Amino acid sequence: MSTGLEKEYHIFIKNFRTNYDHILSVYLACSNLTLCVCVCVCVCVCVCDSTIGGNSYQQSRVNQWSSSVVEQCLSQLSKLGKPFKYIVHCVIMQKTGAGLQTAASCFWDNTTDGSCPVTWENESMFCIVTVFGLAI
Amino acid sequence: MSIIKTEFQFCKQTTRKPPPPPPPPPPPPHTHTHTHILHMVSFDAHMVTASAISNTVMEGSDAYLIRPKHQHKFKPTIVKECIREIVRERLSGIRYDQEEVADLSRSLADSIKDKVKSAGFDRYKLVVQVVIGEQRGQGVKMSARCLWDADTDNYAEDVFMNDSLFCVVAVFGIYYY
Repeated sequence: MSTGLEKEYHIFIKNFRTNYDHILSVYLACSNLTLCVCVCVCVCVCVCDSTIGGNSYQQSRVNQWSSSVVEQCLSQLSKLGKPFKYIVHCVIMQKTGAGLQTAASCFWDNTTDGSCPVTWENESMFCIVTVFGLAI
Repeated sequence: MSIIKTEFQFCKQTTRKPPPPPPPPPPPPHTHTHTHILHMVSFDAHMVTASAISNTVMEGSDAYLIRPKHQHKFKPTIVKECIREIVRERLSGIRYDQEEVADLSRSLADSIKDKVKSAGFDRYKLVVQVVIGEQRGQGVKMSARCLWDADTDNYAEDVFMNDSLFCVVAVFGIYYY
């Protein structure tokens, strides 16, 4: 990773919670896959923050949360107008001390396609969002 | 431009050569291009198949196919069987172990991918997502949304549970045009 990219990456990590529009504009401009992935991470975290936030786990609301997380992620990603098909996968699990492991195996073109796993948590639950982007 | 032209000559030569085998081919007018062609045959098989397609049939791995043929289409029921078979075989009787579960999930994803790959879904990119969790009475919710071509792309999923763990496998097939 070049120093310029690295700098950009750090700016994202620092600012992504507040500077959402900036992330989208940079994503639109970037053609580099690593940077795209980095922006995907930011989008997912932003969406989780805004939909789930500090709520505690409630069985009656978890359906709504998970579907709105994936839908919002997808709509944000599709707004970017990049030539990708997207798969957004989300697992929400209540924190009871139980373990959870996800793994993905893909058969695709490594140069154009990519994935980005994001783990997010609050006091009462884990949320793992995985975005797969496959070039058309 | 010149490459395409010589290529075309090559194809014509091959299609014409077989019918009259006994008479020796006329001496090449300019040997330079001839060696060039021979070189290309050994060197660039890709281009040769491309020109063969344009000459004969529109059937081959290099053509742009907008829709999969029915026999190559991603069929969720077949994939689901693949998943079920492997997951049953690998996870029945297994207890959740923090140390082993990372390797287990990874190898499970790999073997499912290989199995589905060998099922003959031509020109499909595959994404295999495996989630293994411990059962401790907690609530879990999984969901996925996809932005894709619903005519060609599809997914299959299967759930396995025993006393100690649950495992959800989702396989997504995305057609490569």
